[in-house]
Amino acid sequence: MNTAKLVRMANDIAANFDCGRDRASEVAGVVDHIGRFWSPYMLDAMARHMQSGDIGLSGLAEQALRELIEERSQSAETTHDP
Amino acid sequence: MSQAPSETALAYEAYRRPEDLGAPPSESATMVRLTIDGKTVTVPEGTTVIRAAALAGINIPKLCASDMLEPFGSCRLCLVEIEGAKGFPASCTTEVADGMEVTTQNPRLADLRRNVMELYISDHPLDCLTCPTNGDCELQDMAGAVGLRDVRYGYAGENHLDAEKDESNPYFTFDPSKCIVCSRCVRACEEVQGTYALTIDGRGFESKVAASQDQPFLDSECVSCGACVQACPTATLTETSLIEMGQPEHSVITTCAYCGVGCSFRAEMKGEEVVKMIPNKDGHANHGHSCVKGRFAFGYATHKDRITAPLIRESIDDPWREVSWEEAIGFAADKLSKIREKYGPNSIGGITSSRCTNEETYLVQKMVRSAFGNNNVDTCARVCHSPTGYGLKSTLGESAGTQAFDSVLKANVIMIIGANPTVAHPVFASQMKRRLREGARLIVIDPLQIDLVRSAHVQADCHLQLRPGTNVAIINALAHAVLSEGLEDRPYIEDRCEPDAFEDWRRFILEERNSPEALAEVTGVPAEDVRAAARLYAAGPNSAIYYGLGVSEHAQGSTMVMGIANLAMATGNLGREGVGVSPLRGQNNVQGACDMGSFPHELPGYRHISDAETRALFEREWGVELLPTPGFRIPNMFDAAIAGHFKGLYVQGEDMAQSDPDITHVSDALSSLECLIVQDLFLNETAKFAHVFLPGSSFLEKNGTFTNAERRISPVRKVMKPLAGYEDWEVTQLLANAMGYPMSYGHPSEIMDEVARLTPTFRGVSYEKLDRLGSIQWPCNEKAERGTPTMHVDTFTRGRGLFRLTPYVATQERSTARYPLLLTTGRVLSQYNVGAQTRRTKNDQWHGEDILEIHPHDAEQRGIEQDDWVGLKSRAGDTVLRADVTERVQPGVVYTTFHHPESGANVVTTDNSDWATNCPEYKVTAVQAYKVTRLSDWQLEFGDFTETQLELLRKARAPVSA
Ligand code: SF4
Ligand code: SF4
Ligand code: SF4
Ligand code: FES
Repeated sequence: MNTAKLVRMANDIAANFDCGRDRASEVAGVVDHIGRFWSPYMLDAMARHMQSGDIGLSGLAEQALRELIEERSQSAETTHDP
Repeated sequence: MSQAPSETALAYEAYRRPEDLGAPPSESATMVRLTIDGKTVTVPEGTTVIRAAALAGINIPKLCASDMLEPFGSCRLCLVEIEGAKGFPASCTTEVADGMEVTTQNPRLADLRRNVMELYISDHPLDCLTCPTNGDCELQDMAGAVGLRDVRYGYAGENHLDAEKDESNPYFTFDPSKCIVCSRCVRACEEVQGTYALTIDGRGFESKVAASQDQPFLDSECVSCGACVQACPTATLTETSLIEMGQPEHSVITTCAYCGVGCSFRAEMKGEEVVKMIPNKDGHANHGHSCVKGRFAFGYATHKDRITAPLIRESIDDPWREVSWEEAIGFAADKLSKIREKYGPNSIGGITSSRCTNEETYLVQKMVRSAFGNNNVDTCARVCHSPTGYGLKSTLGESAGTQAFDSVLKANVIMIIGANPTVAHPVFASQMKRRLREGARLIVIDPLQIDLVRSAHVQADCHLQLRPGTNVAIINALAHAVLSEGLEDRPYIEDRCEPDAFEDWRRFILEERNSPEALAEVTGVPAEDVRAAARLYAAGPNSAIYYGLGVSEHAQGSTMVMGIANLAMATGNLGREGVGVSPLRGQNNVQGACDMGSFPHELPGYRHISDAETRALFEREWGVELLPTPGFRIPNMFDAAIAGHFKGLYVQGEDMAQSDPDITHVSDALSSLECLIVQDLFLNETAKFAHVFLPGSSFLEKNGTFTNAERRISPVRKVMKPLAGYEDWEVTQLLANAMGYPMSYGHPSEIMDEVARLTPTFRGVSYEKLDRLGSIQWPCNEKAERGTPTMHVDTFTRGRGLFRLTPYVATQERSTARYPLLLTTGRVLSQYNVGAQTRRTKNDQWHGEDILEIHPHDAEQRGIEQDDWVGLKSRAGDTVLRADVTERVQPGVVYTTFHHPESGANVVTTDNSDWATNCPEYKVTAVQAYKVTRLSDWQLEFGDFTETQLELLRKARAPVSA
């Protein structure tokens, strides 16, 4: 999967929640959004990408994705990755 | 002109001219009693005598009057006697009064009427037997009704019998020798269509109908809507198809398959052939009006390019092979199953179409979720209105427009954002223009000078001509102006919206960075203009917002939709007639495709796939287990295809290889599929990459329903057998069965019954009710038996309205030294979307190619002159178009359409997309333009590829040599 595109998508989402106010609710907004709309395949690709060095995510995007990926691995849901 | 839904909307009937009551209805609630020919009649005050009589079953002869037009009173055929009144008043202009006693027939009146008819007929050709409207002519009927036997003046005097025909318009003929100068055509063009193309030239005997400056129709301002043809009581203005085929013998009520207005039509038939399409006066979306596409452009359905037998091939370099349905379906199912085995359950998916019926769309998503076993289903609404769904759902609670079209007739202020209704939603535009002529104020927010900014008898009060890509900045600035000047509707907000979210939003909007002054630099719109528009909108009292793809097709499309909802809530403009937030949907069934669960994260009725309760409901009905996580969206499918993980795709009625942005990327994705199944009428651009082609059926060949932009579900009825043998839903069913998931629907009504069982907003919908009511606006359930014209009346669907924060984030597509211009894209009236249908009709006479509009200043700098070839380059690719140097666009902005594949506008558009829904940003691309002398490499390659694919198709059709 083209991770550059995923990174851009995540950053765009974060930018639209970033209003320079309450950080916790902004993170929650991004977590909820990505959780609702991204397929597990995309999240897995993103998780792999985030293990690399320079990941290119904005602060808000990165924080949210880490939370989301953490949440998923805890609920240990089966993913349908080819 | 709105008429109450009739309880007996008969679908199929023998042909007859639709009833005409002679004058439009009166809206008054006060009733008046009178007697007509001794019969007592009670009608609303303000009704004219002719209509009152017709309602009582008494038909007064008439020629110049019609219930589609305001009273006029020129022919004098409808005169009557009224007790106590002098002379013979015209019943079509005389209003009823309490106690009035009217006589419609007596020897005196009969004489007068015969005299009138005699004069008309003395200047009329007597070729009735060979006249195209023989058997359906009001003049002929009236001659019969008044008992005309003789014409004392003879036919030798001065007359117009030699006047020349105008056959310039491809769809109708103007034969002035038959004109009686009743001016119904002129009035229809003004009152119904609002174009003002016709006039009566000259006076007395010399008077005649003229288009624009006495030009041929095709060269005049005429937009070919056909309202004048429908209004003409003689054979002067006649459909050319009628001249060729003769009178229809039966008619069927159905729904236009072009745009989101969803006009209702009577298909007037001769056996299985359509003679003409006449807009249905009982149609609740269009009230008897239509545009050139719906009325005239149906010839594609029987075009020679239609593919009527299934085709298969192993690779896209192979010639196609014509095979039986059985073989094609077996081949497709086998391929998909093998791919799934080899690459895993996530490697296949399907795409539903906004051009197909609700039932067909529902079935495709059901097949993907059950037979394919994943949620990889998406729809082309992704590329147009997905932000509408997201934005309205999150603020108001329902992913749909809030109003009925008729609501505009109660609006005092109309705000149009990023839409060009006269071109994209012509029939609704006519209704809007009528309201504007009555005095409603108009605010236009658009980078382009759309027609409504200034046209016949319409002029915008404010035109905020913003830079492309700065919508959110403008909507924030408008909200800032409203709040900073204290123009918000406090009681409404307190009563209806979430207080904390409002406070939060208020503080955010009032930040200085959101003021019109601070944003003027970004938007290019002076702060005073923004404030003036804000005051006008807030003053109402009824202010309505209409928006189009100029809102949704942006990197911040979803944010903008939320911004619009915020503004409407803040000013109390939601929840009654005359106000609201109305997305003008592009294709006929965009609303329906979204309602039917076409998105990878949603089941029908906009319920998230992660919701266990909803899933359980569907699992019980469908007998399968559903995945709780979202599948791929179209762009994700393409990315996964290029990465080698997505291999099989079933596409019903869509053409991504032309309509989607960044075409080179799309072509790469399609080429990497191992099995692409395309179901369509024609070998479209996408089908050129396909391995299986399943012939589709046009809207004339199937039963089903479409849902228009006002949530109105309207029936589509089969008027001819499917050319290839199956309706589209039957093909999907065959494929599902072959994949091992049994389906056995016998009729689309059973599919709708299933939708109704599973979806609360559709609970009360059935074919029986649609036959009875004509159409239904969802939600339709226990709480709203007959549907819901206006939403969010007492509370919002989500309970309290939610203000969402809408930070302006500049798009990455901005002008740079390398790409200094901004390209924006749009439509023309005569063509429809990718043009696969309209290009196969005579509509091509109006728009034979896509043109690049460029401002004279930018053109001069580049040495570009009118009609020059211009190269257009973005970071995604380049193409070549012909130039139109015009001030319709601002300096720095260029504009084109994408109705023709070879123009390659989407080679240039990039993969930038809406942050929330990935709806592509068609409306802004940074480009450079320069003069060239030849087509682009892409175009040359495209030409070669097209030629190769057509050759491979010809091989399938060539007789097999033994
Ligand atoms: S076709 Fe429509 S636009 Fe053209 S002259 Fe007739 S009413 Fe006017
Ligand atoms: S063209 Fe037809 S509608 Fe127009 S004035 Fe002549 S007869 Fe009347
Ligand atoms: S306005 Fe739209 S629905 Fe109506 S006739 Fe034209 S294309 Fe068809
Ligand atoms: S119908 Fe009344 S004057 Fe013509």
